[in-house]
Amino acid sequence: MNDTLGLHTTTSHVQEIPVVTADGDVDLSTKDILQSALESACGGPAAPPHVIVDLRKVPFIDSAGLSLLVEVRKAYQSVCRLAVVIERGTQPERVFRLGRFETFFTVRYSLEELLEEIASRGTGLAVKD
Amino acid sequence: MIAGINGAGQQQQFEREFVARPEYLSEIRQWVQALAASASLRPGQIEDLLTAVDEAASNAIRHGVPRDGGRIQISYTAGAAGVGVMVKDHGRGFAVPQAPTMPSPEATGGRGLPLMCALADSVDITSGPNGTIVRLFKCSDPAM
Repeated sequence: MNDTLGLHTTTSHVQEIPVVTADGDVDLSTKDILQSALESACGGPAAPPHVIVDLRKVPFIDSAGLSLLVEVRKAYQSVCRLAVVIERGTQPERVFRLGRFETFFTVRYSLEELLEEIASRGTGLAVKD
Repeated sequence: MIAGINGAGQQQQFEREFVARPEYLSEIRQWVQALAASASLRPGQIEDLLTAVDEAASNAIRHGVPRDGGRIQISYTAGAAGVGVMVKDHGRGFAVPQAPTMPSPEATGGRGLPLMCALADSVDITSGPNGTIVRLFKCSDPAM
């Protein structure tokens, strides 16, 4: 667990899929923490085909946080696809909509729903390239 | 910090300086949130205002290149019409776009100003060689 500047990240595996869970605000001061966790999950010699970013415990994300998600998605798009879980009615959902992120990432409101989609579609899920 | 209530007892003004470093963004949001809690804004409006303030402060920290000890000034004004927040830095300024538009979802930047414009009811930016002033305003909810 990374625990600095008010943002915690943990990486677990659900059905062999890495799930990076963030807990806290993602802004200019904390984005590197999440970026590091995502790069660790996406990279390496055995890069997984999917990585889930669980932002349901993130009450606030700003444009710096949105940009980091795009940067990681682009950096690893040839080997790994990012999918995002967010909470309905929250600030992250609001800025995701304003940024039209649902057209670039797979965005869901339930981890279970996302896992089912990945299982049913195999490596073809996730992002719209 | 300056605090005051006008003659009619309807306007509150507060001003505070913050160190122009990213780790102070959370403190800035908390300060504005605490003040806005007593304003006539719905929780969703306060959330929008906080996002806009965060973007303005982030820009000031990233691009403001403060000269006076690396600080930015933030002032908060609340009245019957709504809440205004001003973010001032002492950098070299920038060319303010006429109508900031949200970049494509694939873009790795350029969302700060469009988010401010989308989330505040009015945004006024004055930028020059001596710094930038961003004025954000969120209208009161008449139902409150």
